Amino acid sequence: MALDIAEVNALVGKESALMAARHAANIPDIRHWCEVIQQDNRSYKEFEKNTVHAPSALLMVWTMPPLWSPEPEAAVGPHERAIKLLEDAGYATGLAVALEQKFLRPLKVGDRLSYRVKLSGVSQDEIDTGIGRGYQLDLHYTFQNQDGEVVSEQLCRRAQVTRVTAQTRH
Amino acid sequence: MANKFGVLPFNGPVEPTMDYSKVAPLIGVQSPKHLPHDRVTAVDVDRWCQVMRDTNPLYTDEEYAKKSPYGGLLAPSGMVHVFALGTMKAAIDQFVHGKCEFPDDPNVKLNVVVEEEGYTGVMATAQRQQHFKRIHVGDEIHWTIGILRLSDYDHLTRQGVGRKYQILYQFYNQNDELLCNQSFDVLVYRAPMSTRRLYAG
Repeated sequence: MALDIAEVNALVGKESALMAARHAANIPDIRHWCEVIQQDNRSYKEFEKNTVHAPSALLMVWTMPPLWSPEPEAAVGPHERAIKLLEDAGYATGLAVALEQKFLRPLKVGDRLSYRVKLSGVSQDEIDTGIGRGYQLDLHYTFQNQDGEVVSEQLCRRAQVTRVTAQTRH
Repeated sequence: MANKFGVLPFNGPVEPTMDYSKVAPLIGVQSPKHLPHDRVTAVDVDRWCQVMRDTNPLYTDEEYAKKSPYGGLLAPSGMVHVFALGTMKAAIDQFVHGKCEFPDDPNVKLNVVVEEEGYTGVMATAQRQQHFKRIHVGDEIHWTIGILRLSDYDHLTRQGVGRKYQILYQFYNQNDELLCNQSFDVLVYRAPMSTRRLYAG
């Protein structure tokens, strides 16, 4: 299917509905994180006694969509629809290009996070990457806690490209 | 005297094998109880269910589970070992620095002997679990480890000459109720020279 870039452009500036994190900020994940980055090796009982704040970098862990769901979700958010349009036009490979994170408030254990994603920009022409040609999308994430306070804003830049195989390159 | 191919004649000297008396005191002894690295949590159970595509509401639907005879969320019994796995730090200490978290456990002492005896290859061959009680979210799973048996003669296997042993894990909850017996069969072997040369480059 040929790409009509106007269809993607029409989605720019639009924001998704609020999506809730599947899990609250919780101690086992914090303990695992601290252990893996070799910051802290206390027992879970010590963590249960003393932990109030959660590492901000874990925010995306708790807001990731589930690995699997019994009912597959359709592409409903503007960013998902834009990606789907590009995929259907043959730009099927997604590349994460950059991520800028701003943390505005500390996270606390037990926080219930939710987030919105806005498609904030799309390149008007094809761009050339080492993987193949495609389009660049800017996705603006806003994360908030259960009280509606914004805890973080993030800009994720991604490219959707047609993968050039080794065979076609030569 | 070996011939030019390195093959010993039938009437040649018998190759030394492991002295069973070195390991006999370790058989049938369970370690002290070890603490888990985490409590059983709904988050870990939920992630397991996603990966296994298990939709049993007893594991993930708190309201449903509360009304069930179990009175709350359960963990799939197959997860029992998840909470008793060593921590990342323990793994780094053991495999990078050669420092074992529980050096007095019978399986650790056994491994020292079999390695000294030249059985340097290790292969896991089977695992069985027998479950006795349900695991509840919030449980703390303590565990012990021991050696059930070790073959008292060498087996000729495709990996080389080796011995088989069987590890027994026992998992308990915080009320000291036995949740599960888990056996784990291991083959330790002396890799043939050709294999050793291959790995040695």
